[in-house]
Amino acid sequence: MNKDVLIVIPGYNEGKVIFNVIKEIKKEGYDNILVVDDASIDNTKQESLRAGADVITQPINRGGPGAPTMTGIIYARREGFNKVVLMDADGQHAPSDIKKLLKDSDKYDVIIGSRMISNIKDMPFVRRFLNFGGSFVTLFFFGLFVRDTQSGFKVLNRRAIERINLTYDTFEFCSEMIGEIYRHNLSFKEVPIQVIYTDHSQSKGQSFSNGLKMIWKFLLRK
Amino acid sequence: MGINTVIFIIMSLLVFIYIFNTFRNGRKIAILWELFFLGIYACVFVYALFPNVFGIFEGFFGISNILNFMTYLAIFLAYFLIFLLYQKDETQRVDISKLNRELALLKKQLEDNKVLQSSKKSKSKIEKK
Repeated sequence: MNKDVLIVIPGYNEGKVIFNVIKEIKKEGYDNILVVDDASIDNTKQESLRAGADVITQPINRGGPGAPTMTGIIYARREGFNKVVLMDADGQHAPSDIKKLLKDSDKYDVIIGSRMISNIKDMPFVRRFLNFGGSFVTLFFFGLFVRDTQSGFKVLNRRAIERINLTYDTFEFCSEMIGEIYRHNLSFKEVPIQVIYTDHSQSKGQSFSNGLKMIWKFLLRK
Repeated sequence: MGINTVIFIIMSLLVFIYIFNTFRNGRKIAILWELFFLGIYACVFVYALFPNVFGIFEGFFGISNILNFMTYLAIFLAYFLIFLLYQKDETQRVDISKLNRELALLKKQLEDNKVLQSSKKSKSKIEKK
């Protein structure tokens, strides 16, 4: 097995879309795809295996993408992969952008696919507002300003794979990862990506109440 | 001696006996907590016997009545305990996630080994043929 790039997709009840997401990634020439199933109650695992991905199934649902993402990173660390591409399972990330993100991953430890550089007008207002809020909350708690802290599309190189440790189970992991970049003095770059908004992807993701919960959880840890 | 005083004294004595027993049995967990509650119930005990002792606090925080002072203190302590419980819950959540992850990775490793072994077996069968 070529252990250069591993695509990690954390997923929960994504049976409807995961097959196509994996097939589209495979079309771009990436064969090492790992779906970390957060104890889905639908056919996410079967659909992922049918599409030709590897699957790790967590026995207990942890309520968000943070825990499965860290599981994917640890798998890559132990299996000796050089790079990890983190993508959402809902199909909002274009697989054609993977190449763009990987391009600079030798120079930078972390590449963040940013929705806030271009195509910002296409983003629904609530998401735009939440992302701006997330950036300032992250700056306050973790000391680093990133335009799109809540992006799930990232590339980590080996240095980052070995250093980053995430402890939050849900969406707070995005901000925590920015904190890990700052803590370990990792270099990073934001690269513009396209986002595909579908009804399915809009139904997932963050809400205002999630944002408040996030702040509460950060306060508990500080 | 009023009924409140009797209740306060009995409550305090029960707590003292409980804490004394845990010390005697050599349980070392949460000694700080036991000392903390010992202090609280010592105050309750003293207040039950000598209600005027805490008169010195009157007006100290702008609270004229000792009963109000104790109510505020109780609310503050309740919030503090909730905060500590949240923190404990958070620590346990992180531990459960780690355990969950290790189980998932172990299962994956076992599945991969099974696949590897079965492919080796089928290879050797083909070679024998």
